[in-house]
Amino acid sequence: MKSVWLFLMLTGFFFLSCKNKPGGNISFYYWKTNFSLSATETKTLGDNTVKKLYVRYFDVDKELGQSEAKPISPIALNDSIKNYNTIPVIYIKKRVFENINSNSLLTLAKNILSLITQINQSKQIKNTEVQFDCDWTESTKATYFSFLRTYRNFSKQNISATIRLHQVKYYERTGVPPVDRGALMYYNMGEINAGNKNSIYDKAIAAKYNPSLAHYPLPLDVALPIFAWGQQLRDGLVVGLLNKINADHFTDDSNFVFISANRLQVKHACFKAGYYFQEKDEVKLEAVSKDELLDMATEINKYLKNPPQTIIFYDLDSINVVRYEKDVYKEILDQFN
Amino acid sequence: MRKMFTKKFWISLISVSLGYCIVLACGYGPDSEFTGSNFTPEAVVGKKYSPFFYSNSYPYYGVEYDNAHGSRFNESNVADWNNYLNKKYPSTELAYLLNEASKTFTDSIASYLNGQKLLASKQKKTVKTIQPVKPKITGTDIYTVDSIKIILADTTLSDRVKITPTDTFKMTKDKGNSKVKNFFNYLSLAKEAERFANVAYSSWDYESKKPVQYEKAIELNNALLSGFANAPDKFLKQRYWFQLIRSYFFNADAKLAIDFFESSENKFDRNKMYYRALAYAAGAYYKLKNYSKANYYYSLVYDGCDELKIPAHYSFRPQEEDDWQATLLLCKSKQEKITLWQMLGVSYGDEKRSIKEIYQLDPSSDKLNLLLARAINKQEKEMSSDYGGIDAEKMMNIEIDKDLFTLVKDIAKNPKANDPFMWNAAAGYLQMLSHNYKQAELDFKTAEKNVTNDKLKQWQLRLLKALNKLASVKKADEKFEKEILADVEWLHSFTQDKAGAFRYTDAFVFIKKSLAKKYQEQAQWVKSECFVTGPDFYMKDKNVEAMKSFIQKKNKSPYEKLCFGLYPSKLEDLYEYQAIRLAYEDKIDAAIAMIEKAGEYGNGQLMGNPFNGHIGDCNDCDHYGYKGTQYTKLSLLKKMKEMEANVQAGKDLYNNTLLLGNVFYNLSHYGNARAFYESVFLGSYHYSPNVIDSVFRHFLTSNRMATAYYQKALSAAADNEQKAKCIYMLAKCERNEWYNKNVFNTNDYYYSRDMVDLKAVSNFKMLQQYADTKYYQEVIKECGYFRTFINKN
Repeated sequence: MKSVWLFLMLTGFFFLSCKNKPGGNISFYYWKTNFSLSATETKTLGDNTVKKLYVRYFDVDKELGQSEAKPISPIALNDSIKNYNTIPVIYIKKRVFENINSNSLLTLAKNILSLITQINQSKQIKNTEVQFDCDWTESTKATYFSFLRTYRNFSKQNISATIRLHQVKYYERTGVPPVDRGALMYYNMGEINAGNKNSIYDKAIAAKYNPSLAHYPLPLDVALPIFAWGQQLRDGLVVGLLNKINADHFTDDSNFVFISANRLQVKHACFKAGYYFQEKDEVKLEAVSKDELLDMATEINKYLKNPPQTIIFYDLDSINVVRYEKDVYKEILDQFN
Repeated sequence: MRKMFTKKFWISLISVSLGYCIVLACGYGPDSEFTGSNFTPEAVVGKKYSPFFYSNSYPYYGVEYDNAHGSRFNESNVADWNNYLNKKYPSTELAYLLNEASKTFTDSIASYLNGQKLLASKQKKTVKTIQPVKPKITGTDIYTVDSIKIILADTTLSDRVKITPTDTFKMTKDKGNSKVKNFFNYLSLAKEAERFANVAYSSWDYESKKPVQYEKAIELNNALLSGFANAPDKFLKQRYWFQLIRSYFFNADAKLAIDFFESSENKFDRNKMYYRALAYAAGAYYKLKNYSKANYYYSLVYDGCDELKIPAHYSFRPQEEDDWQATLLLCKSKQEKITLWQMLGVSYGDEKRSIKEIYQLDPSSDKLNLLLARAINKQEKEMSSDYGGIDAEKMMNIEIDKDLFTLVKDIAKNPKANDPFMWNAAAGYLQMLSHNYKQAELDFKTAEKNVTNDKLKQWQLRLLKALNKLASVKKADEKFEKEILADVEWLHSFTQDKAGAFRYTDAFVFIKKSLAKKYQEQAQWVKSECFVTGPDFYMKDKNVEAMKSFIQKKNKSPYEKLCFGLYPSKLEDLYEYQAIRLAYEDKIDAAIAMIEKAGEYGNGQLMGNPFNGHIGDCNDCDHYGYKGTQYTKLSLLKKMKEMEANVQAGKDLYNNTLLLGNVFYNLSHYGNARAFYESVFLGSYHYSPNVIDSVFRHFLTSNRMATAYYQKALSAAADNEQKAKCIYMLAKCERNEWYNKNVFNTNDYYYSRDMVDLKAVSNFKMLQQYADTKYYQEVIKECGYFRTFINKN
């Protein structure tokens, strides 16, 4: 059971992608199910003159043993969405493209276009681009790419797709999606385990992939991580992901004790932020510092064929943005100019 | 009325804390979750807790998806109203009105009962004649009595409500019954409430997924309040009360729902309707982020109403430790605290902590049972093999959770603990897994004293004791065989139907494997093979002969009878196998003698002509449309015998040896007569040599005998055409041997034509000497391997 939910959680909130205008822009992913900006979030967008937002509209998945793909948690929008150029992002679970025939692909494309249109109509907005996020593999590339072509034929829109590092390095095997642009997901590159390495960003791992950026056939925008999370460990195994959890949550809580800078031990079983911790569990905290973000930008810039049009930060949430100085986004953008 | 926990309810109550995880349940039902365990929760835990049994894969055990939000109270609603109406009307009628009929439909009846005139009699006599016409029903239709008849005349509907086409609702004929009027008046408001509380939605329809903005809430609430205030009896009053709380929950300030609930809850019985109302009050607290109160209420719902156990459990989500502590403080009794601890233990997988807490509060609590069953089943997870079921090796080498072990041992010592059987059975099981077999035996004895007449408990104990016997014994001698005989027979007697929930299969497999291993260690190969069959046994002919003797032995002992019963094959299978082996060794007379004892196996048909020798192998081509002599296994052997006699006599040596070469080639995996070897032990449908069991692969892929006969044919060849043919056939055998050696005897199953080292095929080079033959030219045309060889050399 845990593995199923863990997988859902994992795939449910990483993805990314991007694209924008020449000169380089700052943008963000918005990944909550209700679009309602806090004052902090609105200010962050204003400070960085963000015009375009990549907004998760819904996920697509199919239930075990079922063949029909269904949308998961379509977003509810409020009027503030009208202030931004919205790029809907649709996360599609890889298994949707397993054992799917051409008729079902056609139906899926129509359904997704229809649902995007309905969501747009709820706030009288339009968009000119859609981004798809799917961690496709060699076994699903044919059906996923076929879906992308079908969708483009129907929608007559630009489409972009998220591109993971392994898909860049091994593009001759995994294929290059038939889209206008890619959004390079420059995070979640390490394994999620009890070890000390950071699964969000690991410079050594990144270095193995960076040179291949120079050869990737698609124009790429860049998605960088500003999120933090925790991993709940028990007997040396990861038993849960702690979304939006950072060190601040544990200050002055006697149920937890820091055993290193980014690791805590649970002294007494307790509830915290909606999660339950057993005695002796450990919490491994992961985040990316400003210096690491700048480092990422420098490294990517060394190899990318063309400068990205957009730098997209994942994800826009007060709990994330307050952890950084307000000018950090512009400083990162400057690394690409 | 239909759905009491609706989409909106779930979204508002669950998504808040869990993101979008609305789906509740379990993939393929309980069957897929039965494997990998020797400890049956059903033996020690009440059925009402079954969704919370430990599952390897899914949130709730045995529940594919909890999609009963709109139907879980359908039956009890019908029963409640049936009682209210003094069982005067068919329950099918009530079920239709409550669960299927539209509001417009029931309103029409209500209007009729309230004295409004309806369009009527004109069509009265024509009801039968218009039966085939299915009336078009829209949301704005007003139904007359006759139109109701027409609807009932619809055969599909009639099937569902089990009434004859000319019937009308019996209630409509009972205008004087005030309870009937009360029912329809209530039903009208309840159906109205479904507009926001029971909304059907379509996956890809955005509007249907949005919360309903119900515009007539004030009017509805006033009407419900009036119904509540003026209800002539307690039954109706409680239903109006529930409707109001639910409407307040959806359409008004959450506090209003809470206040109304709490100001009047004491007036009502603790029945299902009460707990449904309480669940909405809990949801209202959740909306207000008063998690401690919400969770407290959810725990009361969980404990009080079995139908709502899953949704209440799913909604139970403490946020911070303070919430949780506050929830505990809200409890009015130990029992309420115990419920909370049970929910925590199950929801968050901390069974040990919950057991300790509950045990301190009340050692006799039956809520301990679920937690212990889960803890044991979780421990068993460590024994799982990669392919499902228990891995016998892992089972006896797992690391037992020390805290759990200590806890169970301690509680098992307390005779006042609830269900001493369970604690002692569990303690014995953990002792056995820790190799403390004597203590395990003592624990099982204590368990036996408390086993009661419960069949499942008795089975559970017997199974654990049998496992302990097996795990503890060093040698499977005659004395032990007598001890274990009845247990193995007992396990062998189970079918899935007989077993029901009883988890016996893994134990049976463990026992059989353990015995097989012991017999191997004792060099009792036949007995070992009876318990666990494997191909290695058949590589020695003396084993096969021993098995034949065993099968034919008269006056078998009871234990031997058991072994015989467990052995999956029969005497004819062994004869056939021996015949095949002998044939491949070119011992045709002996092979015939064996196959003649193999019953019908000798008549097994071969497809195609086994004497064919093509340039390119194409078994399907040889089989398709073949109209020549149909050979069976036996008739082919007899033909081979005849030809070999000719060879011995020096008759037509070239043709006879060439054709015998072809037969042996075709009997191999590469040929068109591989059906010859398809059998119980050797297997069938081998689409590639990789799938042949490795111990048999060599002899089934070898072209050794074919090569020998082709060489004889080459010696007897009269001209270059004949020689070219023999040399090419030998080349095919060489090529196959390259595959056998370099691909199929490795673990790398990838292969392609390009990878063959053609230089290793020496006969290709020899064939070049016959370039002026017609056969050579045919080979050039048809054989890609040879063309490649020529081009590269």
